[in-house]
Amino acid sequence: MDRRRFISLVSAGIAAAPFIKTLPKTSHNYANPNTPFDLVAVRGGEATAMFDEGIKSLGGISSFVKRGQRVVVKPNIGWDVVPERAANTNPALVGRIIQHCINAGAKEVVVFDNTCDNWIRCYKNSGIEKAVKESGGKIAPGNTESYYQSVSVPGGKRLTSAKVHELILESDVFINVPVLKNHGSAKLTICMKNLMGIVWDRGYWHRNNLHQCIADFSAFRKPDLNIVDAYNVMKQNGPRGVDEEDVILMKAMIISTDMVAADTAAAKLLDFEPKDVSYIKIAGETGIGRTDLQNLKINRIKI
Amino acid sequence: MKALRKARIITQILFFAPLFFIFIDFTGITGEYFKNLLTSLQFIPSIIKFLTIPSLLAGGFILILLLTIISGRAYCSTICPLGILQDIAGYLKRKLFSRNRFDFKKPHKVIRYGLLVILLISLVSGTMAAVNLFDPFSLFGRITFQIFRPLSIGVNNVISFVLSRFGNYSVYPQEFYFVSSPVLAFTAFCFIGITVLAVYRGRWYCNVICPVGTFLGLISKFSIYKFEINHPLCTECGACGKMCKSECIDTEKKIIDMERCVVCFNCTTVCNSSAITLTNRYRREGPKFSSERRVFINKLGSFLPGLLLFYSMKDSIIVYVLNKIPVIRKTPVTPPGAVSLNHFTSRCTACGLCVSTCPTHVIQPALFAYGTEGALQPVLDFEKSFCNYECNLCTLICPTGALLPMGIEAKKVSQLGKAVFIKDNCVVITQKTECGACSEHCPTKAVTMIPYEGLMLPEVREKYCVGCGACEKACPTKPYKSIYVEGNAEHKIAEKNLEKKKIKEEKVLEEFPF
Repeated sequence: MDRRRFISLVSAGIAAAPFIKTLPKTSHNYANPNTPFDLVAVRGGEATAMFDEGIKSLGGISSFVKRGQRVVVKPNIGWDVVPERAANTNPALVGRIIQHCINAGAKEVVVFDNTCDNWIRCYKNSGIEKAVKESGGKIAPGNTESYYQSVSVPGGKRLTSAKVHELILESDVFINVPVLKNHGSAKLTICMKNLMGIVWDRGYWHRNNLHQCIADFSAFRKPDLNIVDAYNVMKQNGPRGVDEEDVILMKAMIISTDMVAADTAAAKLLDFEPKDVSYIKIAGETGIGRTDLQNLKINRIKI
Repeated sequence: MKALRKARIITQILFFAPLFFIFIDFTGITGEYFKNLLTSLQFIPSIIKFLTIPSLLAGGFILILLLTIISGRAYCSTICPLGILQDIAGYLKRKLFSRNRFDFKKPHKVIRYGLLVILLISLVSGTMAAVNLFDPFSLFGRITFQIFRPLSIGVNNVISFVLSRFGNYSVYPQEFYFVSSPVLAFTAFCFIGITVLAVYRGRWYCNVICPVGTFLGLISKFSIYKFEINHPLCTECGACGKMCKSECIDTEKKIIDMERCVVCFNCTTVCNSSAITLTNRYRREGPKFSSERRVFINKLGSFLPGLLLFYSMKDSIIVYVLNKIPVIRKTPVTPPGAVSLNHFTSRCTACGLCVSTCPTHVIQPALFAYGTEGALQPVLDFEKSFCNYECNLCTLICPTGALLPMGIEAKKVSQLGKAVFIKDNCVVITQKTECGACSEHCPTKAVTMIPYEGLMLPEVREKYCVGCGACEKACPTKPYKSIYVEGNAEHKIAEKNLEKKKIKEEKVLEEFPF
């Protein structure tokens, strides 16, 4: 190959790259579960066992994941710390969720997070990258702005647009797997706060009334399923924690399709009421979800 | 003699390929032991490291001195990555266009010795500016990191992008962390300059500018083995002179200037009559001394005033301007293991291996972050990133000992600087809404949140702060930050944060509270 030919080939490749993006996108085909309970709360077992029992009472993961669908699982992988610190979602739980999805016939299960610490170290040291690969899922990077596409946030008071990871926009099923933690400024981080890891510019949220932005964004794309990991719970110094002394063994899990209900129930595990946490209060008032747990069908399972 | 040329080329590849790789390695797969081993034979870094932390591994320069005493400047043709880079430029010119013909040139002795003297004087007076400008290894490191690494990341990202369109996320895209434009411009200038010179004038840089070349050249005058043109055998065809990239073969007088010869064996290979031989200088007559020493001392006097002028320029360090309350950092923040401003700036040769190793890219190349005395030395840039709490890689790989090795537990309490909170810039004050991004990212909770008019306001507890800059990077306020790290001129030891309730003993209810 002569030089001229080489140069023209390379430049053609560069010019073509942006257009490859417009290749086939799978159509949205959200699962429409008709579940027997609004919320399932489990206590007393290992994280994986609690998930097995909890999802069984909702008719199994196949109530949410259909054969051939693309699933995106969004745990919290924000910090470069070991699993014992409970700053990230329990890796064994993430692995088990992927296994359930694959057994239900999912075409592929992809996991990512827009991390706070260096993302390669977060993926590795959280144990989640390993768990994902061992259970047959794919781990995808969330560190590059080119993966994020601008969307408008309907009805947002302070947040009217955001850049959201393409995997969230293109997948058929979105499973949100936050870890329950104390949080310096948001008070608690659970389901709604976990969605800050699917957007690019979090600084905007911090500058423009954090609580209102979290509530605004939760109306954008409600996850098809929320699984709150409250096995090990960081009770202070959140969201990063200083050491293992910040963590208590709670052995609990909340599963719901309603983020606001799941956040309310999880908050109560740490003695918080919805009115104590602004974004839960706002989301409840604007009808994004329910905070009146007494009126919901709740299945309480003890292992 | 052809075999020796081949051996030289194989050795070049063996040294160059891994050295090139450690500077472009964006995956972090090259470990610290590998890096230390590779850089231990680099002349200037090795000397500085030996003076800082004397050890066997740091004694690489002694081996190079021995090599030079035996066979002249073989170092320049086998180990020095900048020398090899120039050879590659020449090779590409030859393959793509046509072979360049060289001519014998007189040595630029005034410039060569002058620069060496400047370097020595500046070293004695504790500034690394001259070393950092001219040390070939460091120059190579900066060129590779700042120019070739972005190119290789580009290739990686094109592959990653194409694969991800087909749902394959196995090749991760890498972020481009371009260094600031003046830094890049300077490095590009050096790179283009050296490449162009290499193509048309061979080892011009090595024989005019490079202080290592000049120094080893002085030793080469007395090396045991030297090249000689065998008068009766020579057919005076002049081929060797045209082939010599050091431009040091005087074909008319039939003399090879060993001070400039880089022992590449090109001349011996091209000579059809085998007239050029490697001979033992001391088997026949004694070495000839020239009266160059006098010139040497004379030049010293004329360079001193220029040197003083160089010192008098010193930049002040203003990080953010056009702010309501501008952030003015009085002391730049040095990487972990730097011990102190003084320790760091007097040893760092600005090779940039820490810059290329740093997984968070918080260590950035700079021009005058430490004033002219510390020209080109890298600095922590919290606009770009922050120092990972659980990482000590940079301390383990420094070729000169400017960063001393530090265990991970020691690094986690090493205080590079202290966070300073500018209350009136903060979202909580200006917008009256919650934020707390700084406290979120703080690995030691030195930045904590305290109640303030129904909201939570950051507060810095200096004794726990390690100066990692996570708070400064996370702070979302614009155009000025509300929290920044003021560097410690001497690194200190932070206290461990033990302020916590005994929550472990707290009994967790096993019922459902709803």
